Amino acid sequence: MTARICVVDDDENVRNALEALFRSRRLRISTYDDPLRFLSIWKTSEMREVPTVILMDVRMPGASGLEIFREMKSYGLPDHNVVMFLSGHGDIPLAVEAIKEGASDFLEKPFAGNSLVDRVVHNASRAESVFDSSNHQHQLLALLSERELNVATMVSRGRTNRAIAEELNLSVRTVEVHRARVFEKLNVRNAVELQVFAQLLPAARST
Amino acid sequence: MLFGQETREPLGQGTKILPARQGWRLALPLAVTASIMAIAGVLLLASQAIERNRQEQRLIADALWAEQSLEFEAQRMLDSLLALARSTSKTREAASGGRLEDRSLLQRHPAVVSIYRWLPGKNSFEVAGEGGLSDRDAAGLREAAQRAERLRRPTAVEPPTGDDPKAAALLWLAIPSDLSEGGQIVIAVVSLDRLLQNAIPWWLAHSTSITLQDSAGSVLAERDPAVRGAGVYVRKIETPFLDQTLYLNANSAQGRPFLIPDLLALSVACLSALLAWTVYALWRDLGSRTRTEAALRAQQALQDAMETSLVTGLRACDLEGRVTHANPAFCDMLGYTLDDLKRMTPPMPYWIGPGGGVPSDESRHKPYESRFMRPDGRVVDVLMHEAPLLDGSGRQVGWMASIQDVSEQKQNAELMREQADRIQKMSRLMSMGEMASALAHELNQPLSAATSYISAGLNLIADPEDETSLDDATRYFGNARSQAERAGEIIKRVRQFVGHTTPTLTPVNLAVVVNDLLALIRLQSSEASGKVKTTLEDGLPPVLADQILLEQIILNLTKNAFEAMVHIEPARKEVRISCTRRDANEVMVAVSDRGEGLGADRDRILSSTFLTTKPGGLGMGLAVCRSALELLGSKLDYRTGAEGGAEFFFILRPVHLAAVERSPAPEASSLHRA
Repeated sequence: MTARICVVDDDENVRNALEALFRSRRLRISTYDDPLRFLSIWKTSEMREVPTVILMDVRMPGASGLEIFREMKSYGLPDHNVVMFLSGHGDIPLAVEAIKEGASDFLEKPFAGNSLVDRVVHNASRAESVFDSSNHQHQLLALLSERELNVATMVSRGRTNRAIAEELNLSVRTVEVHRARVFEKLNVRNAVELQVFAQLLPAARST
Repeated sequence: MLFGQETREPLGQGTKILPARQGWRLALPLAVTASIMAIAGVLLLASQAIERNRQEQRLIADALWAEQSLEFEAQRMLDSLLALARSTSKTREAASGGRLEDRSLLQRHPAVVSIYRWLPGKNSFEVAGEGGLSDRDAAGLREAAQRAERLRRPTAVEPPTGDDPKAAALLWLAIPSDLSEGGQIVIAVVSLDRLLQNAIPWWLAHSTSITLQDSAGSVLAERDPAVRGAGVYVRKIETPFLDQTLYLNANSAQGRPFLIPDLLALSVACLSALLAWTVYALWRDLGSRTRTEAALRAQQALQDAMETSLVTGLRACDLEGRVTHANPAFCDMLGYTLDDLKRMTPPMPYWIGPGGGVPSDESRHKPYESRFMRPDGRVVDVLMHEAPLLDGSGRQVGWMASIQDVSEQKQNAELMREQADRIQKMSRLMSMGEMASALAHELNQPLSAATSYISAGLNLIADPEDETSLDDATRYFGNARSQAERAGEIIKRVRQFVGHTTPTLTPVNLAVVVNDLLALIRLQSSEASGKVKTTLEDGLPPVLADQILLEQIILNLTKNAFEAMVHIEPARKEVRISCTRRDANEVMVAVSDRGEGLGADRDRILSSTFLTTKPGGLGMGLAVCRSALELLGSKLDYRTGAEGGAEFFFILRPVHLAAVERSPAPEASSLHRA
């Protein structure tokens, strides 16, 4: 498993215990005691570039887990960074809110040891697969010519062949050829499947 | 006495009667004085009139007498002159003898100044007596003689006066004798002054100015120029003198009679004036007295009214502490009448506390709180302010106190305190929830750590990585144990925080406690429809308990009961609190609900600390109740209620039994001391 695991908790005992637990499952984790320091590290390090699972306590001195999470989201939280919350009793409404806002998971304390690890591992593999698939798509998109990329972008935005032809000053026939080639290169069968790439496609450029 | 309450009478009565009574009082002496004055005046006037009359009469008598005397003298003189004239004519030859007669006549009648003889044939005068004869007089004399000769009877002629004032006092008498026998005419120059001198005696003249006047009113002669007539009593009497008419004028020197003729009248007048003045002074004095009295009455009335309407009690007492005066407010405050209060002697029956109600120097000027017992047994809280009562000379004769009824303020303070208590209870109730949350977080940390360590250890044992794995596992288990101990520590700390370290056991009236809590219990119910029913047996004996702990137990049980009925339709929700006597030694307090009861989990719930049938509950309430009841020497018990819900109950001991049981135990006595 390649995903990184970070634990943010102000309680040293909990951090140490979790470290021991993950070690017993042959997993390495990095721990952070200060939520704000973690935030600044997350912003500057390569953590955002690789699949990462972040385990965060909801109630911490300085800033609550939810506040840090919002901060991360507004900064730009990639899909392969998964945030999990640890919560004691009474924080449940807070945790529910966090889930609504897009946190991946929420664990109530006290947690049963191995089930926590299992959940983390599960989320880690999910992060990895998200990361991998987006990597694979990048590789596929690299195969497209510039004209094909343009056409793909426009198709993904729902333009008809005729509209694309008019905009790019091409014949409808030519557009159809490009379109077929894009579908073939990206290994999709129709415009709906092309939507997987939609986020990766650059903004439409007029030539 | 001090405030003149003896004279206190309805205000209107006194002032209305006053003018009439006073009018009589004034009018009578005034009338008497006036009549005395009037009578005295009338009498004086009358006596003056009488006096005047008398004087007048006297003057008239005097004047008549004087006139008669004058006439008589004049007649005598005339007779002498006639005799002279006759004798002269008879003895015509004895001229010298005639002159002798002249002289004797002049001697007998001093009024005759001189005698002339007119001889009609010779047409010349012969003079006897003093004085020469001026030409003018001679002409006058001749005329008079010729007139007498012509008329042949004595004639009186006024000498031509001219500028000579002396001449006015003279009168010429021409007396003809028998002319046919060649007689002569005797002319006598008569001085009217002298005539008056002779005719009017001194005793008459000294008090009356007597003058002779001619018809024109000019004074010809005066008896005594030194006597001046006052002009009050005047009498003019016609006095014919031959063919001349003279007027005798008597003018008394006596002035107008005095109004106050003598000492008696004077003293009467003075005395009545004095009387009048006295009455006036009295009247004035009475007037000012009346005004002062009215002002005083008004002042008194105002003072009385002020005193009566005053809410603050006023009390005056003498140095021995006997009440000498008190205003109605004070009497109302105490529930005694003023007469009752005055009869009391220290120690006062209403006084609660030391001193018996006798003020001392310590109480001076310093307000202090005291309590009064009314005859009906009610106790009044008062604030007293004592001050020494001084008489006019500044000597202390007693004590004056203002007394304020502060019972209401005290009650208000009591209410406020109760309110504060209630709020405190509320906050205690509220803080339970918060504390539970904090406690959960605190406990979750070590528990999480412990489970993690244990899982890690188990993982290592199940799947050892290398030789060190077992050592690691052992270490992890050790860590887990210390984390568990940490959790225990926290619980211990919380318990210290929650529970009273030492309960204060006092006799507690359960009915009062439950009734006091009802408002709070109703607050616990989330819906307004949540009903609370109480069954409080009559005549419950007081139980020995810590009131605060007991309240907390009941509140927790009711809270628990409401929470157990969350899923029940609102109309059915009902919490029942009952306090009943099981037997002589046991009073049972039970709280039941209409929830689902504990069911199969019963034993587990009752023995465990943090377990609950409620989704949101912590199970804290029951734990608190249990530990609190342990402190009270009781225990929490459970049974299924009559209506299927849960019923929690505990047993408390009545005071007398608890005291008997507990008194030998040393810790019990220490509890009491605490």
